[in-house]
Amino acid sequence: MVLLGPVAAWSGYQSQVGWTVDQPIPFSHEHHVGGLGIDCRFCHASVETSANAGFPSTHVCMTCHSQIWTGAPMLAPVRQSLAQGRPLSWNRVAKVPDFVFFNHAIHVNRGVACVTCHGRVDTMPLLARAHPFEMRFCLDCHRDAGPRLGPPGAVTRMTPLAWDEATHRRFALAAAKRFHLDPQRLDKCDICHR
Amino acid sequence: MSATWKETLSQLRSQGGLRFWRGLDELAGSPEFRAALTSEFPGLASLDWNRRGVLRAFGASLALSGLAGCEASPDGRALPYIRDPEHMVPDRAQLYATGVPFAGILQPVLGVTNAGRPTKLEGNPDHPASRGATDAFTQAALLDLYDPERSQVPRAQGRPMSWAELDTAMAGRAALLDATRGDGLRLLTGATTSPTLLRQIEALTTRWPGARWHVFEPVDDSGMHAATQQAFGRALEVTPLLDQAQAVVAFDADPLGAGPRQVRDSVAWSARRRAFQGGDGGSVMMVVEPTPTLTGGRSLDRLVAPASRIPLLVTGHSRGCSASFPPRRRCAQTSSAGSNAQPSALRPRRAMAWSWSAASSRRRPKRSAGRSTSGSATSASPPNYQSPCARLRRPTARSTRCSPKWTPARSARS
Repeated sequence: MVLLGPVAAWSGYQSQVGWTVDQPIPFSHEHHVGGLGIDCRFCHASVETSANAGFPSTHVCMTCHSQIWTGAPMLAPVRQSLAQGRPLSWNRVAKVPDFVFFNHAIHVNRGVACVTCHGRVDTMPLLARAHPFEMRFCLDCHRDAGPRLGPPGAVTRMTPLAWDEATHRRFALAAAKRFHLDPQRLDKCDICHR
Repeated sequence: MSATWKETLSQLRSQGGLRFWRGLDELAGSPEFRAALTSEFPGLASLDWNRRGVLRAFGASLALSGLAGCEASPDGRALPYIRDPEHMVPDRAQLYATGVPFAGILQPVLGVTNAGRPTKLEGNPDHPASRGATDAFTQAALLDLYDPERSQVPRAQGRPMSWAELDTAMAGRAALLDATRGDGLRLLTGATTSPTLLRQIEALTTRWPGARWHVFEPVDDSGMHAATQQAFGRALEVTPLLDQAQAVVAFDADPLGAGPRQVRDSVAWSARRRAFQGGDGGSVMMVVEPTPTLTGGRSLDRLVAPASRIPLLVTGHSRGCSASFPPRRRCAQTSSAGSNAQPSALRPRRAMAWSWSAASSRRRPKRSAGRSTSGSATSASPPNYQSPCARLRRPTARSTRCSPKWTPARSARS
């Protein structure tokens, strides 16, 4: 048991990396993002203004699906949700524990791309975690954000920036100066554990 | 709420004293209690029970203890809106300027809501009466919204009914009442000053003259209304202008104490006090009271007198004042003291009769003597006259104690 402990902790079972999560409707990010090219912010609308990224309401789904695939059996729960006034019950994939405060807005507005944490959702027919949401994952970036910062305008890009290390460094230093990013301050406990 | 839950609560309430605390322990441990509680709050079934948690739950309301939101295993679901509300940012609080009724009188507040749920009531800084202040009752009024004993649906003889059923029933009842001119209809409300509600009730009583409207309020203004009825011929609301009164004498009155007018009166009094401390005019409050009140605590000096002697003191004070000063407009500037009041009503004796006859009520109107802001006496008073309260106008640096007439803690039992 003692030997299995570390193995269990390091495996994907605990962190759920790569484990797809069943949903009431098999919503495919691969089709909508990769295939159709819909921007992240069309559905997760409050990601730039709020700590909470925002889950799309039934109304958002029905903006398109009141016109296309209107009779598809797979979309019946969405139509029923709108008709009966009952919310859709999705299962969380990218959930951090309650004692962690994660603010989407500050990350998105400082140029941390969506793919950095959520992975290539445009290749996921069903969503799974791409990275373990352990504290180590957050601290690695908070202590050295250089390789992960990019222009805020390109924050919803799916493909990585074709920059070399030197450009990343230069950009990170300029961003740190512009936004007063201080790794020593980003390392404090109470910015996430409020 | 389920029947067993109500039984459990009533069982708790019937116990008193030491038995009450022991009762909670036994009650918390008993399987019946746990079954009743978990049937009401399913998420608590897996919680580790301890006495402290139960006492906390019954000490405050169940809403405050947050039991309704407790769960041992967290919920991994996301339930988005069906239709997003407009202008709502998920974790940004939205504030609404609104009012919370307290014994019929609306307290101005800003309701702080998070995702549509009110979480706090702040004062409204733009409101002239409160300037952003609230009292404890207004703060606690937030819990009224989450009170689990508050019915969420209309009820017919205790049985819940839907709004559609209510409409149908009301329509049928209205037809019956039209035939009988409203005989048998009784409306029970709390005290209200809402113009809309009053207009609607008036329309109702006009349509059904036989209907009766009963107002119940645990602490109401009936004493004030009886007093003003006797003094001025109609029931009036007394508004003390504490921001203008340079000297206030309170006979068993508590304007700064708890009540729906506490914030308004406190804001006004503290404005005058602040002006006085800035060198503008005076601010003297002398209080006569049988029991300690907040007003007495803020007073310059306090005379402890049993309630039975208050009328005598009021009369004596008025005679003392009227002998010294020429007759002048004084007393609380009520909304009544206008054209309808006879001049004789403003003379001290009649006005004393007003405050005296209301002495039997719990909240007595106080008498405030408004003086002119000029430090010296006005032209109407004698030139060498020394007002007994003159020394009160300018307190010494050492203390604010005034003339020997008002020695502290003097009892009126002599």
